[in-house]
Amino acid sequence: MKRENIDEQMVASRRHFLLNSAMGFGSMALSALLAREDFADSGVRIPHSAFNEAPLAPKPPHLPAKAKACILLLMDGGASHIDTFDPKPKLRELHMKEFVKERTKFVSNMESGKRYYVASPFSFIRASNGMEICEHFSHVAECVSDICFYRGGQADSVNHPTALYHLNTGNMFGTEPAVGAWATYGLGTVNQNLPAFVVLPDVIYPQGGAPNWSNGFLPPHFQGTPLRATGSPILDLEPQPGVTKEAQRRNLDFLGELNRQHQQRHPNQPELAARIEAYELAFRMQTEIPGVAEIERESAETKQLYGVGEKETDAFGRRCLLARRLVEKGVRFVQVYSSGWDSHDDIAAAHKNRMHAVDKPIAGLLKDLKRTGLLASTLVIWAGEFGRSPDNGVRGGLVYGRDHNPKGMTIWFAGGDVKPGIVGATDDIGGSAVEVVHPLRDIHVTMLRLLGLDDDRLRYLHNGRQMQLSQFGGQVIEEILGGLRNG
Amino acid sequence: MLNRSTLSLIGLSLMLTGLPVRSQTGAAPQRPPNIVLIMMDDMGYADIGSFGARHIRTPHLDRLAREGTRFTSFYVSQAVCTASRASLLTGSYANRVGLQGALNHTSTVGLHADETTLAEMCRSRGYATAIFGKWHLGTKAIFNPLRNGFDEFLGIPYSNDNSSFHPTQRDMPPLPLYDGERVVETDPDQSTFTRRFTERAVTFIERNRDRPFFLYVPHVMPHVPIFASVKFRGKSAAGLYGDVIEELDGSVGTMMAALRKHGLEGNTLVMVLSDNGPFLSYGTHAGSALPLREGKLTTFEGGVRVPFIARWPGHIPSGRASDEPVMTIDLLPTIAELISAPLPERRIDGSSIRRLLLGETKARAPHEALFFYSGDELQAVRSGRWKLHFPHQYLTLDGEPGRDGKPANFGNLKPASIHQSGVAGIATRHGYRVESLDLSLFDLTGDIGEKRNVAAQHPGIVQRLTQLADAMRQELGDALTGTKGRGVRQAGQQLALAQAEQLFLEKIATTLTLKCQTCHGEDGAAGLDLRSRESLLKGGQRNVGLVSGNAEESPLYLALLGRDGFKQMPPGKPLPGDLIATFKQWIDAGAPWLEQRAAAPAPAAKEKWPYEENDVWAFRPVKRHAVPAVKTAQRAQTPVDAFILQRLNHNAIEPAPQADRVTLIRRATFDLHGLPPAPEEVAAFVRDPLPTPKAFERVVEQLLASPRYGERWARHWLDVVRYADTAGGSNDYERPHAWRYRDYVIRSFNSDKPYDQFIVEQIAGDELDPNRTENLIATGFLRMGPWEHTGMSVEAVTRQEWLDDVTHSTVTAFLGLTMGCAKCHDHKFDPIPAKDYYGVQAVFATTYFEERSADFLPGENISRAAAHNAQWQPRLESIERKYDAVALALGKKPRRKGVAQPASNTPVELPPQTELKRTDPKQIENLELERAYMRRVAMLHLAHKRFAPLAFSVVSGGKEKTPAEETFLLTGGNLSARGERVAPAVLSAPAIVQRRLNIANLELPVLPRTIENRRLGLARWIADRDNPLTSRVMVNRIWQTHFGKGLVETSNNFGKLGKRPTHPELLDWLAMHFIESKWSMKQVHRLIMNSAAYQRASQYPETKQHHGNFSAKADPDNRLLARFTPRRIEAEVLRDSLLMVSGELNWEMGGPGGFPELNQDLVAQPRLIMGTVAPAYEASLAKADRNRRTIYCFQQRSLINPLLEVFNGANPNESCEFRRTSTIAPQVFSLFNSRFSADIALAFAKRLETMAEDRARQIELAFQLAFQRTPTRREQQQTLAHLAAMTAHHRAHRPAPFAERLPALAAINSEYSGETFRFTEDQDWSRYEYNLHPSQVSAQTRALAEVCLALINANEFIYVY
Repeated sequence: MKRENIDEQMVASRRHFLLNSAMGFGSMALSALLAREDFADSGVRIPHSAFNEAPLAPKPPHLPAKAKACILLLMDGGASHIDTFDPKPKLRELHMKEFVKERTKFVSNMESGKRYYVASPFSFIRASNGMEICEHFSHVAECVSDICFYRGGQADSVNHPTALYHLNTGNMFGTEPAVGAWATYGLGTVNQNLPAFVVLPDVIYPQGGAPNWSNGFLPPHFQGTPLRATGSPILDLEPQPGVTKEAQRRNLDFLGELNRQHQQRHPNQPELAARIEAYELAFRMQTEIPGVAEIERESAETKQLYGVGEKETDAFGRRCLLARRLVEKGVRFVQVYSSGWDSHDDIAAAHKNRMHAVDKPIAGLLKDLKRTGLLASTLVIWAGEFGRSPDNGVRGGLVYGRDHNPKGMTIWFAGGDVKPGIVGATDDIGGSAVEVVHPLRDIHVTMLRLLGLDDDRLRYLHNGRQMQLSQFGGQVIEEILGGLRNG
Repeated sequence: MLNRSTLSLIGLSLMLTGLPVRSQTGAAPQRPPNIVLIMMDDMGYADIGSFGARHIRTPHLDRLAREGTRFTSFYVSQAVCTASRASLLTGSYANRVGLQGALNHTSTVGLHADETTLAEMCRSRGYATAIFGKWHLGTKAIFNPLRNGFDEFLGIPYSNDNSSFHPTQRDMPPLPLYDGERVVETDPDQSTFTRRFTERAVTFIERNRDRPFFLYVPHVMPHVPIFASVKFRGKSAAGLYGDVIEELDGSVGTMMAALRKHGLEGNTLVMVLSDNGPFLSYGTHAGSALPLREGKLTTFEGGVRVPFIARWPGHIPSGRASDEPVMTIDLLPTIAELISAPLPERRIDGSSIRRLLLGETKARAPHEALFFYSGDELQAVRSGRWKLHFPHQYLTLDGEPGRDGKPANFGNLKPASIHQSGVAGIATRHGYRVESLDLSLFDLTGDIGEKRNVAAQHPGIVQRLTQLADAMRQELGDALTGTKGRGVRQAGQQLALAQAEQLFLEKIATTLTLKCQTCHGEDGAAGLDLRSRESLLKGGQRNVGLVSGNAEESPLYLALLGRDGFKQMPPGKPLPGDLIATFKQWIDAGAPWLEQRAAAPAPAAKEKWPYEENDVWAFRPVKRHAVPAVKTAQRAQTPVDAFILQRLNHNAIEPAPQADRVTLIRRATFDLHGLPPAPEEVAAFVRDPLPTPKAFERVVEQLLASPRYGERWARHWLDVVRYADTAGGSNDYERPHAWRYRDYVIRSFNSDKPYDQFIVEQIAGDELDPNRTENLIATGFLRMGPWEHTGMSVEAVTRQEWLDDVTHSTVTAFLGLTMGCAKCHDHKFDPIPAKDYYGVQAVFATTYFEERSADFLPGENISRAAAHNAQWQPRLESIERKYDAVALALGKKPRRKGVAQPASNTPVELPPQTELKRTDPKQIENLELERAYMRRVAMLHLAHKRFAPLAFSVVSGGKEKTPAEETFLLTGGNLSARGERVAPAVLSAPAIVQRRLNIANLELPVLPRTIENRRLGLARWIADRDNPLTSRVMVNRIWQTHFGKGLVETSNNFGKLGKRPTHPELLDWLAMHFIESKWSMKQVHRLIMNSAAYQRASQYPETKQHHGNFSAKADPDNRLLARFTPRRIEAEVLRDSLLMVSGELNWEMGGPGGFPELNQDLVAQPRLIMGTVAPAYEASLAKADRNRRTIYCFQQRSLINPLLEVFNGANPNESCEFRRTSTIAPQVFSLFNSRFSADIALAFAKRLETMAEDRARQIELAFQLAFQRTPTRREQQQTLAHLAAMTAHHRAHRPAPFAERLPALAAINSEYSGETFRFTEDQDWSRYEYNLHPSQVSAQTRALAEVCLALINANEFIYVY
């Protein structure tokens, strides 16, 4: 590692002001950015200048790539690959036969006790490409020609929060930046009035909470901003009830006056200007964000495509539709959560309901992106923090489900330059990946690659160490890439 | 003929050599002789006058020959540098000790540590030892001469053409010149070599004149490239080569003169020789061996026969010559005899030639035969007058010899790689061609030039010599006949092995784990188990797994390549090529597996030294620097100023003037209390008649004496240790006693506890004195990180997580080093080997969590205990009641006693025969509620323990005193890949660095291996005043908080990747002062805050700015501290200041944390914990409890107060070395729009109205409270106008109506049904003390609150100057 490199990242003191200013603006930067919102697509390279150094200013990718934004659909709890996209007919023969596993000291309580093989309670339909997909994912099955189903992924943790942290941040302890933070750190964002990295949580925050969209050690500009489904989309976005916009404006003006006089007494303090500007930006965001969140503006046909208005699919459909609206407006990275996939018990009912809740919205999202041409520039990823086990203990003698299984899972990719098809495989009971097997860090490196980022170059010096999403390097899963392959 | 006096002296020498005999006879002990061994490099047999040189003048060597004995049939064992030296120093054939040929910079072998060198032998007899010149017995650090018996080394590790001077090889590294184990120069001026080695030899003689010494001067010259110093250049009649020899001759003369000068001449055995014959290919730059055949690199006489002169007046006859065939291998045993040293334990080949040396008349050469190897080939043998060459290839000149440092045939050379050895490789590099010699017998008596092969005439002699050679082949092997020698020992390989181990740690182990062991583990595919070296060697059903030392024959390697019929592994994608190459390297190096390795001698860092001195500055001792002198005109209020002014003066930067008093007191109060000063405190300071520095001194003292100081400074420490009141992880369970640790830290700061005591208490307070409550509380430090173990986690894993955490956090907090890297491999940048990481970890291996009984101390705040219990008891009962209801409905056991058991409580037996359909929504509701209530009960029980007299602590060994846990180096940090066993240890880096740099021999403490007191040992080492890191790290943390930037900017990283100190002398001066003031932190504050540097204004006066901004321009980052860097107040300071100016702050100290009001949207957001929804956050019912200082607020890892978060609060899961300052839009939302700000503004307005009725006066007070100044007239007018306008607005707009707080709603997507389930939390808000609501005040007050809101959002409020 070169010393200059480190200094450049560490010191940057000449850039102190800009690094520390608001969502990618300095006073000179903001106007320039707003005027050229679409430059990232125009291929225009911004000449070296001060505003280029603003943390959220758009930056060219390291490598050629089609995807410019990413929507990460997170099945919180760990969707079963065996019951969705990786059917295992063999389990029918083994159903309710005893499953024996040797007990070592590296086994948790969850895996103890008597265990039985469990067959999927679902039927599978054949999609246009011949692949078998769960009957309850019939809408997604219509989109298979755009999807790369990857069955070789493996996680490390059997625990929800650590596994989810691992999937979201590359590290199991919830202290590091999320993929979305890395992506915005690498690419910046094209709309300075919206957060660059947005989170659309389910009714309940996932286990482990906000660290799943944390900026970690990156500056807070890269933190994921949850947009709430009800109430104020962002915490305290709106003034207190009863405070009119007019009153707020007048008070802001008064504050501005105080600040300007103060600034005259401290002329060499650029931070003061940044803070004055922050209040103006916040005021503009107050207007812009509710507009984006206003999905009622969409046509009835579009809403219907996502299942908005239907009881089962309304909630997730709204989030998927909002994700598209955000990406359209230049948001770089969107996490969309669907919770409740932790079906230890009665998977037949629980997974069925979960699938019904997301199937049409996800298919709607893919179809909508495709018809608007956005799919080419939007990477869509579907994943849970791990897959589920082919076996199950008996939990109170009720109905069976499946436990956690980090060794076998399905993650699928669509859009951008993904090569549709099936990559990798699990063994014949879905217990473990056996073909094209890659750890999560390789999946992360691949995600970055699809966005034009090179994990080895996307680094940040923290506590004396060059940190990167993959922790210590990984490899691109070439099989998932389309035209980028070997590129 | 010997004369009489010589004879009598010989008699004396006989007596001398038998030292034990002499002492028995009572003779006065006499000093054994000094040994001076001078060796030229590639000097020809005929290059000195007494051996036949004509054009080269060697008067000093000739004199030596006159005064001593010349040996004319003296041999080296091989005609090449390394091998020749190996024999000289070990008394063995080079092949016996495994060192043939010549090493280069890439070589990983060297002299084996178990071989006894001449130097070690002499040292065993009390000799001082030194080598000045070329070593060439291993180029890596572990082979350094200092590891081989030499006290001193100045010289180069390998040949001088192994550099940019090499005529044919490219990419040679710069030639290193070592002094000891340190490279002191690279590519040194080679013309100075002879002079420098000589000078050093002279001083060595001088320094050791009073004790016996062994001085070894293996000159670098006249090995090409040759250089003579100016003094000798052009002086010889034989060109540059002659100049070089004459300078070497002069060197001998100089050394002899030194011996004479110190009266040592008589008792010094001086020997001179060459390491082999001349490098003939270099023609004009090579010497001559005439009349001998060929030269260097051959086994002809020109290669192996060298001049040898020995002088020891009174012992060795003068002017004599001996033609007895002897060899360098004989010198070691001879000297052993002369100085009565024991012979090496390992077998050697030489024999003493003492009698021959001393000129005894009947003395004969001790060997029946001498053997001549070239590399591994036994090419020739000499016995008596006969020398037999077996058929072999040899090097001979290819055309005309080279000129001017170029080898023969230079223009046509296409050198092969430096790695190609053997004659062919050498030939390509040095302009030779390869010729073959048939079996040849030469009679050296008449044919010293080996010209006439008489083998045919003397078949008997050929046979006899062949038999002699056969015996030697059996012993030392012979590549010509394919014989393996049984007496051959391995060369030193440690480093190669160490590197291979490194590869294993870094790459191999991880790859095996990730890519191979999934299939090839226990009961592995094809019967192959890749989890241990044994099982790998054993292999699977068909093949062995690997052949140690031979990748090409190892199935493991071949399978990675998919070659030689082996199926490509791993299936699917082959490993990257470079990784496969790494496997080859590893196998070829013997496939070391760390489990296999026996414990290496500590310290572990000794074998690695890739560190620049500059990068290890922090490990050097803290140095006492004199306070620099500065001009009196410049204000130097404390010594701190002198250091700072020195650098400012040096850079011609003028410091800013002193700040005004209001600025100063505001700055100091924020720094020491984390709060703005009260208006009356400002007024008192402004009015103080004393000069500002004096008056300010008093302010500082008052601030330090206030308990607010501890509250403020504890926060900095809590940042470092990651304080929180919950455990993190899925459930984020409460740690109900953690607050006692927080209060301990506050007490420690307030009482100015000596920092060394603060360290020991936190790491090992329980071991120091378990009866002292404070000590037990202090050890909470060890458990401060996030940690959780659940039914889904693996116990061995979570235990290891804690061990890793405590290892890292202890070192980071106290020593400012990052350790995470060393968990998987040796630290890449700092001298922290993985072994040290696990050594520190072993310290904690016997430590277990325990909530220890600890009665409350008088100062601890438990005043709320009664109220708390009164509140929580009914809550607990209520939730237990609810739980019992659903449990009963589900047929489960209720919690409370006396509740009727369910009718049927039979657990269902396995397996479920039918697939039940559970469609009853009531049942699903009960299942969800059961989980939710169960978790709530558990959490309330924890909350209930807040006032229990327990300490969040640890114990060594646990209650049962489990046997001492063993710690293993974990390969790649992988728990299932145990490597070598590691004992508890401290970091070796400071000791290693100081020894390497020849600064000091720091002793590493040996830590107990018992269950107890391991931590105490570590703590004492950290708190030792000789620990170079501890004091520096802490003064730097203090400095950082005062100036916004540390002297070392990275306060958690003093390693290579951290920043260098801007003022290293000042840092050391402060550290020293810190230690000497009994580790008083308050004293450090005084030194800093009373300095002019701290008291400077943040900008220059108007007039000065004209002249070019001074430091702003010259030093934009203000590293030199010419001015004060303004900064934004931190998150907690902001919240505390808001509460203080509004009059809402509750000053109560200590006790369990209060629950402030948080953003209601955030509170209403359900959060998933393990299997259920987390209980909704509940603010304290009592307003006073909500409005405590932030340090006394309950800190929940999973729910951070957004106000603190957006203003760069510390992440409680990671040690925070420094609060950064970012300006982001959500700060505006939080500070301008939030309910909290609105409430503060309203309270502030209310307070102003109670303080004054007059509007103008209220505004004046508002400015005083918020900004510590009165408003300007313009501000006054604008504020009044704004107030009027807002009053009008508020008259026209009614506020939103007051709403009572309702129990929170919880929601979860049910695991049982996949559908959303909602329920109402069991909350009771009936006794909640509401804040003032806008609807409860007048429009005027609401308008004033708007003004207040603006004031608390103003830059002036939030910036300190």
